[in-house]
Amino acid sequence: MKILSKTYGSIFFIFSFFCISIPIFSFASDSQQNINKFEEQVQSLFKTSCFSCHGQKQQLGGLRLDSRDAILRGGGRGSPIASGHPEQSLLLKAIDYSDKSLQMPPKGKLNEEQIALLTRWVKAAAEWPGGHKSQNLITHWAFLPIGKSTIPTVKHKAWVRTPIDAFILAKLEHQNLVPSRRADKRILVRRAAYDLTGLPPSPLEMDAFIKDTRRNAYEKLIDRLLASPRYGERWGRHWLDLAHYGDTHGYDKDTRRDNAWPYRDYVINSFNADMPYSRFIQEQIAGDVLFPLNSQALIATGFIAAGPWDAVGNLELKEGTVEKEKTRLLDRDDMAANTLATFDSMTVHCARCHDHKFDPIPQRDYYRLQAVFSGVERGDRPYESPERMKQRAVLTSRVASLTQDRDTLQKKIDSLGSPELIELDKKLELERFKLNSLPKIPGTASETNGYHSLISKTPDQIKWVQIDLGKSFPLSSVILFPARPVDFRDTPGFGFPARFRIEVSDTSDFIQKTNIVDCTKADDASLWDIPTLFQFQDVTARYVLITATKLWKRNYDFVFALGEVQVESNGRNVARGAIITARDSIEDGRWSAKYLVDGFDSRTSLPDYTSGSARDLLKQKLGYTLTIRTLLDEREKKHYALISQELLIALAALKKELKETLTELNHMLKPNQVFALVTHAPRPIWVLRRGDVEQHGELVRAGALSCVPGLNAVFALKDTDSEGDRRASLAKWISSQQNMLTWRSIVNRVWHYHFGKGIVDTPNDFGKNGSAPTHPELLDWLACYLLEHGQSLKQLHRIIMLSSVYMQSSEGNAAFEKLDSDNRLLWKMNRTRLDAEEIRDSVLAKAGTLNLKMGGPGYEVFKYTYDYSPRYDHFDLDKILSSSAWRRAVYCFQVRSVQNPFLECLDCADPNINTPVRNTTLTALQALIMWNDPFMVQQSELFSAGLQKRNATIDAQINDLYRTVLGRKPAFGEIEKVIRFAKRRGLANTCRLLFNTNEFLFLD
Amino acid sequence: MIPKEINRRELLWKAGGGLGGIALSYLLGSEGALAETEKFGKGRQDLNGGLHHKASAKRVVQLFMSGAASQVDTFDYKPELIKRKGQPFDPGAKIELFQSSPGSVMQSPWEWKQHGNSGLWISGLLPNLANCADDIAIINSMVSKSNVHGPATFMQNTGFVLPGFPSMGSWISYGLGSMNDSLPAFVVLPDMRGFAPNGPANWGAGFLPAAYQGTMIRPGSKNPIFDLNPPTKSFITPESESEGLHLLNDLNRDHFSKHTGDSRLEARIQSYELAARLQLSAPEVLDISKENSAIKNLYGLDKPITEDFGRRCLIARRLLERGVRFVQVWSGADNGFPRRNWDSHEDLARDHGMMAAEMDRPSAALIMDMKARGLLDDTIVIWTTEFGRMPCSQGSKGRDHNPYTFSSWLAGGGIKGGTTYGQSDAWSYKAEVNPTYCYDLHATVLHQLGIDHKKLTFHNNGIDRRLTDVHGNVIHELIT
Repeated sequence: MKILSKTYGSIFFIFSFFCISIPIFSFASDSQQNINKFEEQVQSLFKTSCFSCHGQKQQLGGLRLDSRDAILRGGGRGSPIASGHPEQSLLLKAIDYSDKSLQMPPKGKLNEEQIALLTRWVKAAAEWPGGHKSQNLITHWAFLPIGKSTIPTVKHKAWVRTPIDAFILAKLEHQNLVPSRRADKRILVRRAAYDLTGLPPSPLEMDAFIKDTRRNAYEKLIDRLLASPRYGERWGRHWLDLAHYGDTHGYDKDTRRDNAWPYRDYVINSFNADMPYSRFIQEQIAGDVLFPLNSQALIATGFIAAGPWDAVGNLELKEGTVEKEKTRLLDRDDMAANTLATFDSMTVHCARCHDHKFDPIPQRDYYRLQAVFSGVERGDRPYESPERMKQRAVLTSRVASLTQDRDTLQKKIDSLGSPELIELDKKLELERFKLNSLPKIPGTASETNGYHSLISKTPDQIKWVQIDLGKSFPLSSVILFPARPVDFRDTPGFGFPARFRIEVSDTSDFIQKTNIVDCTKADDASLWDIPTLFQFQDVTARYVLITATKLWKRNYDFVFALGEVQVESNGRNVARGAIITARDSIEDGRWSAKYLVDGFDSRTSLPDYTSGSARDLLKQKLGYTLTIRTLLDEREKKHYALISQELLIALAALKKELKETLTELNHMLKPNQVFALVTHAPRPIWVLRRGDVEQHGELVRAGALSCVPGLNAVFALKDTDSEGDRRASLAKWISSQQNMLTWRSIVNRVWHYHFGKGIVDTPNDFGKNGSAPTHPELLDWLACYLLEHGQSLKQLHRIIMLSSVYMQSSEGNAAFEKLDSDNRLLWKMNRTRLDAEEIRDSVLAKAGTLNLKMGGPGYEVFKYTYDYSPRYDHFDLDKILSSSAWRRAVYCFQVRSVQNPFLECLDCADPNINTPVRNTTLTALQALIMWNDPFMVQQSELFSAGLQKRNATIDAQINDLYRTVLGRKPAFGEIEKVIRFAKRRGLANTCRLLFNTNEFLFLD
Repeated sequence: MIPKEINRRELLWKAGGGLGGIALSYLLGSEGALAETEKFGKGRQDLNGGLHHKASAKRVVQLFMSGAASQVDTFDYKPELIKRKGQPFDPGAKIELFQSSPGSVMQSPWEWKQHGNSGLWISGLLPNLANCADDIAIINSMVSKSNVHGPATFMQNTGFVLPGFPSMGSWISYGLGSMNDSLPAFVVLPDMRGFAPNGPANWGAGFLPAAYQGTMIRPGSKNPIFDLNPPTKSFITPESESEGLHLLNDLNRDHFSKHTGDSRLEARIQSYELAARLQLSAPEVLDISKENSAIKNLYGLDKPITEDFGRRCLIARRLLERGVRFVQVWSGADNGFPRRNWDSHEDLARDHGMMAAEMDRPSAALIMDMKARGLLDDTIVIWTTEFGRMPCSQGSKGRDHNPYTFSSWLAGGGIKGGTTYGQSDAWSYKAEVNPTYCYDLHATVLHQLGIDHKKLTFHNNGIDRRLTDVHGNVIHELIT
């Protein structure tokens, strides 16, 4: 092949996407290596038998056979192959020698084996091995189905503890490399503890393991660590690196996102619960749709919303502008790109402006993914615990059924009848007819409600309103028009007091007064929802005072209100436009004391009702209404007599239970909020030429990648307008066992975190521009293992950590480094520097100050102020030193614009981007923070205090310090120097010193 | 105390540079991107320190006007606005504003004059910079891809409207490293009142190693550099520090001797010496007491309004003088109230008036001072902002955002002074002649530093990333 590509150079470098439409050979039982071998055999056969006439130098019959392009293009007779259809292929006809006019190669028939090879090749879509760019995309390793790998045989069988070892060892033996010896127990326990929990083993745990001589001691250690809640905190943190989780929105203003943390807790809990991986995927993409009764699944969708969000652009830009569309495009880009990068290790964002340059991802696929997220916005979404959600559902349905029972029973009761009732109903009908036949006085709509007192917490507040007629008049009646505001739910009689009196006087001090109405003794049974006329003996007075002695109950408070008042003197309303004073009054909008006499009640203009036809009409209306109400009372009594005791008891019981149930429902706590997805009808999505929101191409449906064989790229949705169905389909597409990307991606990530490097060392990019797997068969074996073991990540950790590969020492070997300087073949374990969180958590753990409280809102290591724009001051010493910050770093409130300087300096993940691999740098600034940061100095002091408390002598203190930080005794030659320093410069400085040693900061 | 025979290349490669004068091309060599420069150290000496061609500049100082400084009140003179003041604003196309609906045409509150031999138009808002007219090259056709502060500020810094990309200073540090063994390559001097929109993410390293992010220095605060010194404690004394670091070195050396072959262990030991050097050199560079009073007054340290920006400009000069590669000085803080940046929606005369009074004299002083010292010859000064402002009024006295055209200028480092490049339309509503994006400005600056902007790349998530994305043309009209 090498010779070939030299000779034929660039000829077969221009393969295009049409290859995708060719039937795909099933590689289920073939490894990538076998396929390559197969293709190379075909190529070499062509080379020896055909190229001399159909190659670079000459092309007899116009046919050239030295590139796939050329083969498909064919010669004078058309293409020699019909890929997937051997019976129609000219090539096979020719080599078969059955047609005398077409026999190739002319020198002589190929042998049976060679014919079989070419037949198989045509059947298998006629793939062609290539150099760099020409390599066919469908044969790219990442898109091949996961093969069942054969466990290789090795010479050094004793070393193989798990099948993983065989895969690694086979390659090592092939390169004449030898694995390193097993690391000692002190190193193993430290390695395993950090790996699974992100924390060091305590001295006691370390001793216990070292002393445990049972054969399965190491296995037991792994099991114990996997069961620790610290495991979820460690591996959850890895996951949050990918989700680019943060506790603020980022961008301009960088507003707090106070409801982000439930998602962080969900991730931690899911790892601890060892949730099957496909379920973990589904919940995070569409948990609210697929598992609607499970609040945790709703919280899981915080994954989609976890990244930075241009709140100003999304909330403040005007609808319908180009800028708004750009903002939305980028917002969906973050969701789609991050989902595919995280779960499938694909770089779809490269296809926003044009087809992907390296991978078979046309722009259309990218916009199909955008369409999946075109019906979601980021925002707070209510959720509650499954128990409460269940409780709420039970109560709601109970209310519904009780209401129905009550209505049924009420209907039954209402329909009870007797001859007497029939008689009464006839009378009622007649009176109603009379009432409705009265002429209507036309009016214009009112713009005012009337008078409204201030709101009172209790009903017994005395409220009054006084009308000053301007001078004395002989008065003979007062008409009160109840309020019926239009800006409140329709309530006739709004604000009409339960008890009240009306007094008149000639002087404003009311020393001499006449009480003309007194309804203060009992709540009046009459219904004050219609205009009411009070007539009395003529009294000469200037002032009319209406005093409410028991207020009207509004919702949970009490008020006094009236729509209008008319006061009669000699057949004329003298109150219109009078001066109104009140004890208190709401003067706002449609309410004002002066509106009490503005000629309008709450709904309409009023004629003068104090005389003439209007007054007659009012009286008639009052008369009929009273008659109707009396009849109704009578009817009710008669009807009541007909109702049996059982029915009454049953109805009362129903009403009581309904009331209680409603109370219980109303008293339930309001649901919590999580920053996740707020959904709406999907917006149309077009392919955008050059990624420009103003250049619409074709309209696309929701879908995913077309390069994953066996899965539909366009989702078959029952309801294409359903937002939820789109995400649910993507969740299923990604979590499908047939999606080889998903399963290779996760096992590679787990491997990466255990070894510091993935089998594919670009964990977010399985495309052609990423790295190829160093051990493809092992990658597939691990994917199969995960699928066959309940998709349990804990099982996966276990099998990896029990391998000899994992248990190797990390010491170097100059000779091996020459052969494999990057240790890609794993002849030793990789030594790593502790990461930012491990360092901070370890310092707290060693100092004895670590608070293991799990979950809840993140602790803030900054002073927060809001001055029209949030400010996060990370230099505030009180916050840096506060004991509230002595929790694990995974619970630290993460500000996107200003990261925690301590963690940032130590290469923590930038919450603005998906971080598949942490950078590990060694800088002078790190030396400064480790040595000088107030937190480090504070912890050193606290640590030394603890050591002094535990140990009487300086020797014992130093021994304890060494045992705690480094897990060993001070070495000979070391102890003297350190004790001397401790004596001269203090134990706190000595603790500081040990926290800065390489031995503490590197993990062997 | 540190043996000298360390394998320098290995150490620098692993240490990742950024600090302590590490020649970052070593690290580049390890990445394979710029391997040919490996043997030359800090850029190629035959290319005057450039990486791909001969460099005409070695350093950059960027003055960033946060909040969007108005072009129609500074460098983009439009007689049309004076002629038509108060008339309805109708540029003949649909107008999309950020907050408001278009008000009437608004004349600048400041008078316009031509300055210097070149006759550049500069408004009366900037009388001191006007004196430098013959040194600066104005671009009056800058265009932004966003009219929202956050994304647009990212764009001017990183070339992308999204967070998570390396800033220009990070790219240049990654490309060239520092020229000083004891100072960081990229230093940021934020406004004392607070951070601009996006905060320190504006000078983040993105996916580049953290060593390339801007090191923040806050002159005038109690701890100008984060954790440069330990907190005050009775048990921490100069003696305890030196003895402690010495013993630490011993312990780490013992440990290293048992784990030979791992250069990272060695690099970490070395990082403490670099830190110690920084501890010594940083106070010296921040101590301006020895500058003579004429210089201090030139920068405006004698007046409260210019004191903060002036001090930061003076320290910028001191940093550049000592070999820091890229210094960024911010004028303007967050979008709070009362206004403390250039975002003059409500009252342009008042708020631009204040911001310019703070910035004008110190900026001009920086140019003049560097010129007098011969430093301007190979130092590029960039004056920029995230976008411009509208020629029409918002309310009656303010101006809304204008991403379609705005002004930036360059000076020094082989830039042709006294020129203008590009034009906006008659209103200064949209760029008309030579619309210019930050890509072009970035490409030009890299070009002057001897870097081909298309070759300075870093592979991340499937793409060989560049400061200029897939865009950028060097503006040759601006170069001498």
